[in-house]
Amino acid sequence: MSPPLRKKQKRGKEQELHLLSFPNELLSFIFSRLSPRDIINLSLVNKKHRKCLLPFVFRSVTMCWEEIEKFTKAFNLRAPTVDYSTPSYNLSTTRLVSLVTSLSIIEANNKLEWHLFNHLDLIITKLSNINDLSIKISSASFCLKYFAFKDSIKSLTLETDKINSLFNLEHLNQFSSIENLTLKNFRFVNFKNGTNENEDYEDATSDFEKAHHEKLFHLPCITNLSLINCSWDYPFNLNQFVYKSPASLDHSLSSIILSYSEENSFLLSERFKHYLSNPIISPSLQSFTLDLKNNKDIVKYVNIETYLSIVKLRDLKSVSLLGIPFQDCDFFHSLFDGNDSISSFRISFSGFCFRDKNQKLQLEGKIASHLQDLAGTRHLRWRVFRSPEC
Amino acid sequence: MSEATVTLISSDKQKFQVSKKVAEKSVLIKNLISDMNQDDDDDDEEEMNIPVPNVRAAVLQKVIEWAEHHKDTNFPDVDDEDTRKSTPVDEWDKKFLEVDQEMLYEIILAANYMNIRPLLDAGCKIVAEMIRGKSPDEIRKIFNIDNDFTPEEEAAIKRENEWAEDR
Repeated sequence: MSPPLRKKQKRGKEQELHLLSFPNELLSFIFSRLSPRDIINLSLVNKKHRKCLLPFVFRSVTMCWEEIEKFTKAFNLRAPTVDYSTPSYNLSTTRLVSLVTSLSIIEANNKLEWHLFNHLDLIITKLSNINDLSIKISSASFCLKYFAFKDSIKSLTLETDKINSLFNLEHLNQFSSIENLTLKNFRFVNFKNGTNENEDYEDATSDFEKAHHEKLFHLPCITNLSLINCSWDYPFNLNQFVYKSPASLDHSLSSIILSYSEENSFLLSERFKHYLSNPIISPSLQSFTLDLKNNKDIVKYVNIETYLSIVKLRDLKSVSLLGIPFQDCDFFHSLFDGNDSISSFRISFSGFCFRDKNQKLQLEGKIASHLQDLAGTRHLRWRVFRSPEC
Repeated sequence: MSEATVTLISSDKQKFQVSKKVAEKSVLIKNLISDMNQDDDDDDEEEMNIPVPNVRAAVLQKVIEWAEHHKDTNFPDVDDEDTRKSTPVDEWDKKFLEVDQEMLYEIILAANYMNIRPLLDAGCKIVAEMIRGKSPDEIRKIFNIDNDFTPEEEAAIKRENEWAEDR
């Protein structure tokens, strides 16, 4: 290659955005720092950008219940392709639909939800590469029963508008490949298979039978479980999410997050205290997070320090206790004394229980210096977050 | 040993003599050096020539300048994705990367090829900053690109995009 030619080529390159020739992992890193709006704007620059950035633009699609039918029409999910674009810019709708990996249905709508589940089911079937689904509904989880088998879905987020709406694990029957599950505002109950639900509910509360467990549906692949403002009724037990057999070590659950931002009488119940005294629901669990969001109404009633089992937490790799009031250093002493397994530790605590702000700051400093000492002798990453005072 | 040097050879055959410590900011070169040392460790005195075939002299010089400056910098864990994404760009790096776009892209690609994570991250973050919060028109101006959509095409695309917007 002669030098003048190379120079000419370089000129040509300068006209285009070099960015598009970056390897995909670099583009992904750059785009991870941008909003969807920014990526859309970049894709509107010219045809070449549009073509190159489509996979990033359509990775995630959001709509509300009212728009589901419109989406079905716009992307021709029923009939064979009809060309709705101009001849010079012909976009294959089938290709576009296959780019979607994440779908969110926002704004619960109790009138349309039931009516549109078939439509939604169809859409999910057509989105051939979808693995992340997020749905907002207005009440209980029963509607999920109407989905066909969805083994491509790896992450499911289900949120209900009405706190304490019923949720039954059986309703996830068609989603047995789920690895990440997030549930918000539900109350978990047990029903037996295929019979009248009300009747069963009575039945299930009668006694806690271990044998009965084995027949219950569980999620064999679940890795991350995140429960926001969720409660459960006896005899439901969080074990049921991963339940195989008491002796089996073959579990996949590695992280559990519990967070409560609203006052919920469940937090005062024996069920919750019982859970805190045994927060490890799977032998594979490595990470535990409890977040009470500095909610004054919650923390003034619940004495986490008393109930949370230090012995159990000591076996984990990562522990986060956020927005919870702590009174003194004892808890941390016992948690870390002679314990090498925890390598990541995060806390933040609210000051409601202290007479004045100085007292809180003193404790904060004490805990920080304690953790600092520990971090010096072994590999411990820790962080004390400042909680905003309400 | 700390004074040991290596010679890096750019794609256009220019030679750059740098200290081993500086060269080893590149994981690619670090691995190369350790491989070469394993093969014949009794020849430590011999001059080490390392070709960097994908990087032209002007770019390699910039990369070396960066590595010299950060000779003693301890960068955070590379495998911690969150830390990598959230750390702001170092002030010196920001100034250092105030170059024309083509040079910036070439530095990024060189950092990618030579496996210099902190330089790569800084470059990518600066590119992201150039795009963040800008309208398509502003982006066209920044990158000197002509709009080749007809108004009809633009309207059709905007309709499609509605589904992808963050709400």
